[in-house]
Amino acid sequence: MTGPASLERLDCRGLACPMPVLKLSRAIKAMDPGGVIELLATDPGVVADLEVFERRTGHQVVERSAAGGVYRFLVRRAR
Amino acid sequence: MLGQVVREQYHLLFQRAWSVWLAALLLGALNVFLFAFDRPWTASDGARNWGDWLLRGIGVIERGDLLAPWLYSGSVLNLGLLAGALASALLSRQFAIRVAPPGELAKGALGGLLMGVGAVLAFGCNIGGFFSATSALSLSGVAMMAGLGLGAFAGIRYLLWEVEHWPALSGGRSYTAGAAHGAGPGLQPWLGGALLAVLVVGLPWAYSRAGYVPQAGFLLFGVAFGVLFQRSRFCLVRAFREPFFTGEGDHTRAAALALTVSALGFAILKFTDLKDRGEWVFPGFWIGGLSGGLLFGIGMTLAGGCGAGSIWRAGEGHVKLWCAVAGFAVATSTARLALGSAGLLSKLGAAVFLPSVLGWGAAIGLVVALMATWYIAAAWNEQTRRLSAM
Repeated sequence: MTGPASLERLDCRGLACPMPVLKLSRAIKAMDPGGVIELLATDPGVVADLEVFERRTGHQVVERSAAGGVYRFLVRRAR
Repeated sequence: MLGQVVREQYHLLFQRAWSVWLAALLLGALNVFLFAFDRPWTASDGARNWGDWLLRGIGVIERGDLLAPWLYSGSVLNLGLLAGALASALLSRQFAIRVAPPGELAKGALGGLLMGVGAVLAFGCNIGGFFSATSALSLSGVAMMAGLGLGAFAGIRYLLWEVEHWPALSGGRSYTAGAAHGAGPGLQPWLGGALLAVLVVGLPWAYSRAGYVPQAGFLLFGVAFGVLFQRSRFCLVRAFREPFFTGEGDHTRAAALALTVSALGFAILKFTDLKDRGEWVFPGFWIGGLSGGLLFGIGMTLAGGCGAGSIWRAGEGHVKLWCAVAGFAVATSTARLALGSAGLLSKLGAAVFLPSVLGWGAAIGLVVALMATWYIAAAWNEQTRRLSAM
């Protein structure tokens, strides 16, 4: 399990495809395995992009939600 | 009971994403219908009409014969695409004005400028110069495809470098306004429904009452493209970029399918002499197609949208793509003017209609084989990750 101390936030609100996934890809590389990052984005394309990201990288989206036009994901780095 | 059915269908159409495969098939078929109706699809000549009006407005050109944007076929298609995507985004509660940080807005504008110049060199954007030209069995389309591939590769390598070494460019303040709030449907779907009714009933009726029946048709085609793209997010930038990035090949394979359908339809229309065989065969093989495709490919990757993708995403509210569309319109108009006055438009290559060289069977076979190769290459890369950055 990952404690809240390792939760980083990546704010990609306002950014269009493919920037959120590019930035997530870079940020997650710098994390320790098992660490969780919170991604905030407003591009509706990010929903499908994160499915592809999960499939292609093995990193896991452990939580997803949307409210007020903001998509929020918690992504755990694969070990 | 009826209310329940309507709610279910609304959910199916506007709450769930449409399949990219369905979108690809419909896109290929619609392009054939559009060619049968009048001319194939492109986004660049409509954008050039907008740029020409701007240049005329500031006194750079004098064009008394310039058609109004609401009358020029390419422009009406683009306006339909923009408004159709807006209606679709509203119906899906996905519309919001999304203002990206300044560096991103600049990248959108620069991407648009590169796309504009590329579209002039290649005699069309990725839709007109590649998708429709290849469908029309023009060898310039194949040259542009090669250029687009190289450009998308260069573009994504740059973006990977940028997030690593220059993250501040895409950092900074961003703003979002007008997004749908709350759990209920809210206002957006009602506005979207009303706009869609105006676009598919009100405006076509008004056009035909005023004697502009073809424009009513172009508007309806544009709206259909807009809804189709917004709901499926089928993306030709992705088709070229993604093999070099995540390695995902769905959009590439779907694009190959769309082009195959479109090419078979165009070939039938031309073979049966329903359409002139020289239509959409551009003198851009190979210099114009390749160099234009290269610039366009870099531009669309920086902007995050191609000729059509920038316009429909602008309709969804992405301000970065507004900048891209503005840059695209200004550059395509200016570059056309500059190259035309320098006499360079006739020096960009040869107009090669493949059936004239190879015969009909081999020409159609070549395009289908090229698409099959693209399809297989995308699937192979998806498995092996040989070209992908992930």
